[in-house]
Amino acid sequence: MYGDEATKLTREAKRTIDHFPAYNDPLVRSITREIRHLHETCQDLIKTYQQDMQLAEREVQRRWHQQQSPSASSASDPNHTSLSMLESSSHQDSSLPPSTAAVAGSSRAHGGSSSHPMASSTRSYDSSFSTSTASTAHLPLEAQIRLAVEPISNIFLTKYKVHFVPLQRNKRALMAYHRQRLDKIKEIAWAYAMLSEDTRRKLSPDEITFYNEYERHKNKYTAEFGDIDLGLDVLFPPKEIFITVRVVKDCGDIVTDSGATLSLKKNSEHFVKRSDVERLITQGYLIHVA
Amino acid sequence: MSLDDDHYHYQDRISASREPEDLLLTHDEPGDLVKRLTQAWINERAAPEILKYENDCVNGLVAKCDDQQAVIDELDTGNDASILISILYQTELERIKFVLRSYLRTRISKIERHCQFILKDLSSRRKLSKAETSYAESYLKTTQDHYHSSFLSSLPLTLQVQDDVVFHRKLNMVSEPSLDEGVFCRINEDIGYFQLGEGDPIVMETGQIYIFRYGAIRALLQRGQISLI
Repeated sequence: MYGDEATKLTREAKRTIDHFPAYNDPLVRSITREIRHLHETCQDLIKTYQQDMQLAEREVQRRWHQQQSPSASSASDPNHTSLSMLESSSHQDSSLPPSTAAVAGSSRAHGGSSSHPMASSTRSYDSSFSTSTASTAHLPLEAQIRLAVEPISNIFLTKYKVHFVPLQRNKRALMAYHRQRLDKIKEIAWAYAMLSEDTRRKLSPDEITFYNEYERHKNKYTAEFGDIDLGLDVLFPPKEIFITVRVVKDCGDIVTDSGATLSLKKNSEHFVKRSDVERLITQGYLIHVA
Repeated sequence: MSLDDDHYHYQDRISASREPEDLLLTHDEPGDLVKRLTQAWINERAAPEILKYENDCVNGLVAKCDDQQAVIDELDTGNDASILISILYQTELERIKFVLRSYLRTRISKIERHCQFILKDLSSRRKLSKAETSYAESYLKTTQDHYHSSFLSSLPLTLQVQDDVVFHRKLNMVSEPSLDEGVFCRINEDIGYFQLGEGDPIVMETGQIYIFRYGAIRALLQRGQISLI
């Protein structure tokens, strides 16, 4: 079904909102493939539609002229059949490759022979068309054309929509997926200012390029504000300058701004100046206990 | 709100104890700058669209922070009283820095969210600082390049645009701030009768608190007649 892959991708994005999975390259590729296919189908539909419209119009015109000069009308009425053939091509299963559908449709419409096997399958439409032509024979030419063309337009619009809506949805899904990943990457850039090996492996090459570029712009911007570290927590204002922290991930020895050395071993607690360790809290190495 | 009250309290006490020449570096008292920045920060966080950049305020305070750091460094650490003062100064400094960075980051996140819109819309664009404008431009380029090389480049040409509108559902790919969002605000000065869209005008008096549609009171906020809370 069209759109299934995109649903999978959006589900994945939703499921992984809290952690950061590897870039799903195969799925993205298969969705772009689907978009290309849908796009081709849409283009073919438009082409077929334009041809069909022209043929139908010509058909009605020919019938009109025949009616104006009754001597020219023939018993077999090949025109009638060719129009119904044309409709049958529009009714075709859309799972057929669109290009062949279009070719088959036009070739058959041109070679309008009354004994075509496909004629039986479209009898319902065929008969309704005959009755409508019978009752509308007195109408002016323009009205007749409008009547003949209307079902073709309706069918085209339905088919077009069926292909165009999933196409747009697929693109939206791709945009949303990539955007969510960019948001995550941006978060990492602000908090860590570097990529861990683990994260790097989960990024696509394009995302790594993005990260580097983003980091560059960010640094250029933050450089304007000197020693105000814009990457720190922006939700909770500091209440005191000395805090107790517990180490949750080993980070070895660090040298503070004031020149002291802190050795931060896992599970140890320290009473330290907040500004010295704030980065490490944002990065999740330490937790603030009191 | 206790946080801000707290904040002013510190500020008043500390400004009073500061050397006089320290205060003469800019025309504004540092306390006023902090008040202005804090209000700008609250407005910025509450408003759906980007507001005017408080250039003087930010620059003034960044400079002040450096000065204050120098004052702290010079304090005699042998003396108990100066240790206490040093701690108060440092706490104040950390808290001002917090407001500054939260203000700047809030703006950055809004700029990133509505990047394309802000750069196209002249009146929004004028509200950015120079650094923000160049940040927005390079950010927009980087993200668009990323989308392009990640998947758009393999789509048909007509689908590669990044600002189309899904017509049947009015979904615009360029996200715009929603001016219909509700905001809480406090009236700063007597405004008198004010026409809110349709319906009867309401009387606005100092100190009243309302919840409004942001779009309706946008102009009042720009003139500083109300503040968001």
